[in-house]
Amino acid sequence: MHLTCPLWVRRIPKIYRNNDPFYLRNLYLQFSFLFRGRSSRCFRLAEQRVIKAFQHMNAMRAVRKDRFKQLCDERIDAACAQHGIPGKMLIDGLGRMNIQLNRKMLQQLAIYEPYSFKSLTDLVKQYHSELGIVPPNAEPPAPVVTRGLLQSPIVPGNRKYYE
Amino acid sequence: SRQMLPRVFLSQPLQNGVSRYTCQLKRITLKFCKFRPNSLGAREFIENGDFLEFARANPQVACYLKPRRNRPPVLQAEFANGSVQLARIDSFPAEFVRRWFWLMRGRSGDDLLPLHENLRSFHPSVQGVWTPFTFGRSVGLGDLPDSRHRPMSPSATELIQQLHRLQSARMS
Repeated sequence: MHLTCPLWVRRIPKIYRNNDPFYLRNLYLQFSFLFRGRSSRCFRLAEQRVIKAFQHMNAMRAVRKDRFKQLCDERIDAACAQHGIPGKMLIDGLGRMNIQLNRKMLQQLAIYEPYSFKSLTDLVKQYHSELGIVPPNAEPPAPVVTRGLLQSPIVPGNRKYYE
Repeated sequence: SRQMLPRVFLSQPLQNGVSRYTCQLKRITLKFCKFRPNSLGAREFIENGDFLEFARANPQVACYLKPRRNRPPVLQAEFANGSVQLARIDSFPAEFVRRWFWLMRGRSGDDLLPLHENLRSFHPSVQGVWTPFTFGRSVGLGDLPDSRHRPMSPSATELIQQLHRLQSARMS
């Protein structure tokens, strides 16, 4: 029911509020107030649009993570391409050296700390050259003194790479 | 949905913490029932001395206890910006009530809205943001028109030429 101003002041007990159609419809209309046209004002249209909006919100949760991951991959790939290695090689190489930087941090470094990112690519190139793998189209890296620590890093969590 | 709850950037009221940190929590009220079982956690929190410990550790916060018959227990926190936040502690263990107290102590009173990012910095870059010129002009070099920059869909001329080719193939 739509109440006049004086009646709005009256405190309606919750048991009646739950059964009153005005309050039930208001729940949906609260979500639809920024929708376009009559969907924001009329319950019979708003109900459909709001339910669909909830479905979209639900579905987008997984999609958002995937899209962010794709974006990070693209950015890392582009930044690595400038230094001559593929993005996947960087992520794999850093993982093998037990340098725990995830995609989110790598793309932040690539944008805001480009010289640190370059040093990471140099590390990966050095790791691969020690194994005898030469990335194509890559400039030789700046000399990185490793003392064999890239191949056998002294970290407890890296035991599986010792064998 | 982002129409209803737009994303905001992380911020503090009046840049709290940049030069000096002020606790934004001004008053905290614990409403509980002396008898009902859902207030047991709140009662234990008071009886164990955790409430007094909080009050002594935070002289800047006014702590109140409100025993209210036949009402569920509630934590009401009032902040410097005038906002009031309520935490329902219905049937919570005493440890959880304690944690809620200390959580409110750390809050600024701003509305809890979804964030763009969990971090914010006005100077995110130390080494300088990447530009195409950071590592010498190795990107963005080339002459236009570039054969790699092909549009995805064929132009009108190309469409007509395709149609003409199809038609002449059909005719012959």
